[in-house]
Amino acid sequence: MSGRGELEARNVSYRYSRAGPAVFDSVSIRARRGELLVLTGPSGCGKSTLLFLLGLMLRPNEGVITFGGVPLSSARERERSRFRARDIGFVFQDAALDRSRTILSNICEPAVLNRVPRREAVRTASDLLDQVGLDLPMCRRADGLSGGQAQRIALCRALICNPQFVLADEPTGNLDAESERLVLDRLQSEAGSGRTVVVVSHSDQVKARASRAVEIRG
Amino acid sequence: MIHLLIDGVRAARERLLASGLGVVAVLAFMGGMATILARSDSEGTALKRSLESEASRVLEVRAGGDTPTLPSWFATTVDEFDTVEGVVSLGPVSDVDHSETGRGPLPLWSITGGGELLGVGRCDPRLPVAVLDDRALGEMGLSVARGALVERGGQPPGRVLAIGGSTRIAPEWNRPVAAYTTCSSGLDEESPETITVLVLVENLSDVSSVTSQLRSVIQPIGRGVSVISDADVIRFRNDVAVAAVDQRRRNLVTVTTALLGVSLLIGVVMGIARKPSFGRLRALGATRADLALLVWAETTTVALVAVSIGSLAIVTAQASVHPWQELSWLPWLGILALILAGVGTLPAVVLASLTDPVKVLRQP
Repeated sequence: MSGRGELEARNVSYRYSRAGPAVFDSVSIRARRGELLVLTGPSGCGKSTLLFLLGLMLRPNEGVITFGGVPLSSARERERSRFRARDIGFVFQDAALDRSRTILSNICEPAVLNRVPRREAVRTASDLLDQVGLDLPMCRRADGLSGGQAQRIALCRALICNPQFVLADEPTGNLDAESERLVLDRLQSEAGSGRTVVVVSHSDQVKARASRAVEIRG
Repeated sequence: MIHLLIDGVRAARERLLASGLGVVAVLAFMGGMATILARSDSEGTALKRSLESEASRVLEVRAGGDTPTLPSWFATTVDEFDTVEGVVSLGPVSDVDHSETGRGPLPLWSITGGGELLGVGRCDPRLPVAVLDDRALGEMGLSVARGALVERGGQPPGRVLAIGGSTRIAPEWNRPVAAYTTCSSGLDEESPETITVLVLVENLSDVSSVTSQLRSVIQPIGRGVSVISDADVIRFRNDVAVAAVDQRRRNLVTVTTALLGVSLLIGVVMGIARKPSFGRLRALGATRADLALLVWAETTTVALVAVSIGSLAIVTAQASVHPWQELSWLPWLGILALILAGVGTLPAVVLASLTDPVKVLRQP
């Protein structure tokens, strides 16, 4: 029985093309509320693909993905997008910020999609920047940032709508040790506050912080 | 929805500030448009001057009768009026029947000035000119000053250029209009001189009817009309006039095509260049409709800025060539540019909605 805040993939298979080989076959995985689950495995084994499946960006060929017991992998695209905007916070591998926009605008992107009042979003963004230890003017454009700064801003963006689930793809891949520590502190803290956090990573530092690590074999 | 639109506007502002290049490109483009338009109007002005200088070859109206009596107001000619907003020439009613030209008799209109009925006149519906019976005017005890604005039923107000009837038909230039007149100066009672009238008509067959109208206006005040030009000259001048009209049409097509082409190009380039951004937004949960709204708001804002800057450029360029009053078409150009910019967003909107977030996120 799935509980609230629980993310589960049951017997999920996926291939990029109908005739192509399966990226993985009949994978089952469950992340509980308050857990920091790390997915590890060699390059090309399908970790990121599994994360995209868990993030409802891809549909599994077989199997089902449930959020709090509700199967959403077969839902219509619009519903999946809405759920993603409201309940899932994403941290992408290279931060994926819009460099021509301000730090504030980048952080507030999910808030715009969720129709959060601007004033409230700005206040939350400011609090989040404080929490990740960034002392940057929010009206500054998001270019010329270090990798660590950019990734922490991406983390703020993932958290601004207070999602139940946080999915992170190699969030510390290009960071120095100090930045890695700051990002992991924050992810661990989010899991501690009751969110379900799933991280794809090779890093031993990440695995060391995880509640549980699952290895995916190619 | 409003959040998305506002964020689209905000994104446009941030990107415009971030990209001086974008502004320069927009300025250059709109400057080009301004140049095209200014140049075409310069050509129109030059053509007008050349036609004026050759007017006497087209149609000459001479004083007629043994003792022409010219009223004192005739000493000043219409040349005093820099801007012709439409002409009301007060004079004897023209009863010319236009049946043979297919237009039928001239309609009868009431003519008012300052809220008062000035009289009843007839007017060629194609020309912003009316002929008012000044005898009727006198009988009614009404008077109207030269230069006064008078209104005709359902027509835009016109300025009284002459009273008693000599000048006719002087609409603004650059319209596919029938006629333009100019009077030589120095006319007075003692020295009746030639009134030179240039007649440009859309169709050559109208020349005779316009000439008839001129006769009917001028003859009653003791002047005769004689046409000294040959048909070839008239035909040539008429062709030039039609060519001027065609030139404006071509310019409109050029400007529209250029605006549409650039808008579509920008839309395609924006759609391709912003693909990572669209993919990221899709991954964050933007629906296709959300993206379409964002892109539309952003592009339209950029277009609005571009049109504003471009309008300023055009006004500056045009003001050196024409009086301000002749820029009445500018708002229409702005509206056209905005509509075409809206059309130009379509490629970006389509590309945005088709973006696969996973493919974008997988790209290094």
